[in-house]
Amino acid sequence: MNQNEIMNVAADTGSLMLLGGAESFRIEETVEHVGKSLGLELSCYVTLTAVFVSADDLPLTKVVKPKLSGFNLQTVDEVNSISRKLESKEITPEEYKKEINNIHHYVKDYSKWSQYLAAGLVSMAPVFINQVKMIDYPIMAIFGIFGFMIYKFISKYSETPYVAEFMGGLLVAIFSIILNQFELVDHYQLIMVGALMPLVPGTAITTSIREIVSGHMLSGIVRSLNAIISLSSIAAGAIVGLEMIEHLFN
Amino acid sequence: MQSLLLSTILAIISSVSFSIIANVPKRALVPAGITGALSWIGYYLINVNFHSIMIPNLIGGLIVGIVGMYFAKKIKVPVIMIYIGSLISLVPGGMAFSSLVRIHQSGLVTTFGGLFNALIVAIGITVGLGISTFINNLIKFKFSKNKQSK
Repeated sequence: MNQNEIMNVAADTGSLMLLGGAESFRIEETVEHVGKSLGLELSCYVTLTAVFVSADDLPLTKVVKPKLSGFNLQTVDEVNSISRKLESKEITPEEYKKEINNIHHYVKDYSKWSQYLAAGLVSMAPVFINQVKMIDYPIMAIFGIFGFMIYKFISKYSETPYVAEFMGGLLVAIFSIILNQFELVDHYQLIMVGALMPLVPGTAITTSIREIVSGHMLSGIVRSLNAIISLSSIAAGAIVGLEMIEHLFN
Repeated sequence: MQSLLLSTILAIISSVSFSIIANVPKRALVPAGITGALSWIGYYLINVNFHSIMIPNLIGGLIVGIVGMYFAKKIKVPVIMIYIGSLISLVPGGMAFSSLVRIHQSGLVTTFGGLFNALIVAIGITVGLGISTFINNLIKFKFSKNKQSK
């Protein structure tokens, strides 16, 4: 494998891991290890929107800009396990290149419906145990499934960023306040928060602070900014929905 | 007691389900559920007895760190795959959202207070995870020392 090929393979490794949602420090470490075991000392720098790979002793650099996306940890796991195999010399560099290409084209996913069901189950948040009645939990789950389906559907067809979050918040808020207008539930706000649990970026907020603390300032700041914007989009959608229905009924 | 039991069951369900949404490999689902349950129990018990935002989350993060690290080594996955699911009951997404939504009723001060609380929760989890990493390094250091002396 010549130096150019090594650069390409290393950059592919990094961009796959970034698309899967791995932390920046893990990506940098993995890419540098891959470079070492392929026989070229590399330096890697990752922000949330780009992977820079550069050879230490040669004037070679490669930049990859994957699109910002959610989690797919299956990819991260596969890249991780084959790069470990490469390091322990269980597979040859050629095989490694082939495997990386395979992951590019084919990633195992859980089926669509099991993801929707899972979104419904996430919506039954344990935080509200002392604040809502047991009967409210199934409602949260149904709204949660609904909100997540809307989110997935719109993010598949919409080019405009953050529209999917906005629409998810809007529709879930409308449904929960309508239930409240007919006096079917007591705590419509809690039901709304629960149903939006799969969409709100709580994990991203925590990950961004972990990244900032561990010294990856840029990546952490970009991630927290992204989290703040998507949080605000959901909240804006919810506020629009709530006020619309309140004006309509009064 | 009853609400502890029920909420723990919900925490297990949440952890496994969020792992499915994040597309975690199948072999990490059960460990994520167990870790989520343990950290929720720790969080709940301390939250009942302490009137604090930071400390219960710190303990939750600490438990996730220690138990998650153990499972990650045992089933050979990156530790983030266990963190993602098991932290879902603790992370402040819902909190930040609900304080932002109430902006038109309760005004700016309450909203920013709520957002600040969410930040404190996130910092608490981070500190907990950090302490667990530190403990882990300490154990590793001790073990390697023992090996050398033998």
